[in-house]
Amino acid sequence: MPNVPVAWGEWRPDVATLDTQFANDVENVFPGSNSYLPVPSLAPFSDAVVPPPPSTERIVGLFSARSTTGEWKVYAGTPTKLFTWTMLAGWSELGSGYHVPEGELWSFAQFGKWVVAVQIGDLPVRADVDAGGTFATFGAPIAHNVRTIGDFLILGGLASNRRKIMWSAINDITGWTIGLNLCDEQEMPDGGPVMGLAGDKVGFIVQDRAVSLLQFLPGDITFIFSISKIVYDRGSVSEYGFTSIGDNLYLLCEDGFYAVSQGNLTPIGHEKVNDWFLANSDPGRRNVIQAITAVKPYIFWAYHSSPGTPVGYYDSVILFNWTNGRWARMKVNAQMWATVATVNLDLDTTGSEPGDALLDSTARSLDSFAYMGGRPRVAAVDPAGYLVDLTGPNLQATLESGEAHLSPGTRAMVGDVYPLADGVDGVIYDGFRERLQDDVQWTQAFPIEITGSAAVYNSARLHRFRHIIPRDTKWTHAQGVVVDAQQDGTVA
Amino acid sequence: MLAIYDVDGNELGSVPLTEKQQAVLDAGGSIDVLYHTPQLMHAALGTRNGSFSLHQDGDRLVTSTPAAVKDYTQLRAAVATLKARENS
Repeated sequence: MPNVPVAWGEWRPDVATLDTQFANDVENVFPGSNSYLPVPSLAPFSDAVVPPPPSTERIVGLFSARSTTGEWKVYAGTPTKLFTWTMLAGWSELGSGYHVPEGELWSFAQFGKWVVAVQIGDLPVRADVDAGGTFATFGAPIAHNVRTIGDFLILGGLASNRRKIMWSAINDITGWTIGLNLCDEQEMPDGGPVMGLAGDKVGFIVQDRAVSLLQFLPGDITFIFSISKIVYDRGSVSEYGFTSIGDNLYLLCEDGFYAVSQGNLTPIGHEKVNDWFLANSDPGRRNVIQAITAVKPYIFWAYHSSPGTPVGYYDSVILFNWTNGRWARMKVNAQMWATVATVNLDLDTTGSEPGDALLDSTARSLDSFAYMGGRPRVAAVDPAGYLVDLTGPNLQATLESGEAHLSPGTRAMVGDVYPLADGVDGVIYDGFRERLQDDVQWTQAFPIEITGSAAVYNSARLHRFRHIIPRDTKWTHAQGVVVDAQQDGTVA
Repeated sequence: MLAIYDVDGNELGSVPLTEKQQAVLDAGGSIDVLYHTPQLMHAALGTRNGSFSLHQDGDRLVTSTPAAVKDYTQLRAAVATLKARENS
C-alpha cells in the first residue's frame, strides 16, 4: 500500500488548498521553515496581580525599561494609574488621576534614565528608572504616542492637531519650546492622523493612510529632520498595530499586513492570511490591535477575534515569522502584551525575595522566567492580572492539512495515519467528502497507538487530516502525516 | 523665562531654560543655546538660525555673544506675532 506524505505546509488560508502543500489551519504553533513548533502557555512569574486589589481596572499599558546599571524595570498602566513591578515588592503605584480614553492605550518610551508614558487624556509624564519615584509631567504637550528616535523624544498625533509630530530639544526631553535647541514640530499635509512612530536610525512616521521616513540631518539647524513620504494610501489601522525591526517596518493596514523596507512596500499577508484575518477579527476593535516584536524572529499581532469576545482582553494572536514569511495563529487570552525583562531571582539565597526562601518550593519551576533576569521575552498581563510569559506547558496545538485526492480519479481507502511529530500523544481526524460540492465530514478522533499511527480506515475521494496535540505534551516539531492510502474504486 | 544680559549689564532678552540647562548653569558651567525659525513658519519668516552661549554670573544669565541674542530675540518676537495673528 502506498504511503502518501501529507505535510503541514505553509498556512495560507486565503488560497485554494486543494491538492496543494498548504495547510488549512495551524493553531497554537510557531511557524518554522519545514515544521511547526509548540507554543508554550502563559505562566505567571509574579504572585501579585495588577492593579492591586480592590481595583478591578483593566490593564492598558505594559512596558519594560532598563536602568543605567542594566537592571530591567517593568511598568504597567490602567486607565487611571501607573504601576511598577519588582520581584520584592510586587506592584507599586507610581501615579494616579489619569484619564486614558476608551479605545486608547498607554504609549511608553525610554529616554536615558527616564521612562515616558503618553496617552491622549493627560499631559505626558515621566519617571526616573534609576532612582524610582513617581511619574510627573515634564513640559511636553498632550499627544497620542511617543518614541525615542536618535537623540530626540518624538510625540505623535498631538492633541492640537493629530497630523502633527513634535520632537524635543536635542538630548533634552524637558525642552519643548519650538525653535530652541532643535525642538520643532511638523505637520503632515495629508495621510490622516499620525498613528505613531517607529524605527530609530531610520524613523518611520506611521499615519492612518501614509508612511514617511524620518531621518535626522546632523548639523542642519534649519530642517533638523528630513521627512519623505514613501507609502501612499496605506497606513496603520491601529496606533499600536505596527512595529519595527532594524530598519524594517511591519504594519497592519486596512487590507492586511505589509512590510516597509528600504522605502518599498511589500505585502506579506496577501494571498496568505489577509482575507482570513479580516474575516476573523473584530472590525470594531482593530484600532487597538497590538503588535509586539518577539525576541525570536516573530511578530505577534494581538487582536479580538469577534465582536462577541470580552472587552477586557485580547483573545487571539496572529504570528509572523519574518525570516521565512510564514504565519500561524494562537488562541491566548491577555490584557496587554509587551517585550519584558526582569531582574533575576537568586536561586541560592535565603533572602527576602518572595517565593524564594525555600528552593524546593513549588511556587515556580526552576526554568521559570523569574530566575532568568535580564533576558527580554514576550510577556503579558493575563485576564486575572498576573504578569505572565510564554514558559508554561505547551498549549494544545491543532494542525490541519489541505484537502487532497490521495488516489486521483478514484476513492482512496485511508488506513493508518502516521504523524510526523515527536509528541507522544495526540489524535488524528480525517476530514472527508466524495465531491467538492459536499460538506466536509469529520471522523471521530483516532488515538495514536503504540505503533505510532492512528488507525483511521476510512474511504472517500477527498481527504484532509487534522492532528491535535494535547496541552502539556512535550514535543519539538510537527511536519505532517504519512497516510497509508490505496485505490478504492470509483465514486459513481 | 530668564533675562539675558551682556557683559556690561544691559538686558538683551529672555530665554526659557530646560531642567538640564539650568543644572549645567547651577554647576557653574556654560550652555550653548541653538535657535532656528520653526519649520511651519519658514514661508512667513524665512529661515534664520544661530546660537549663543550663556553662563551664570551671580543671579544673572550673561552672554558673550550679544548680537546672536538680539537676533534670537527678534525672531522670538516675530514668531509670537505670527502665532497671535494665526490664533486671532
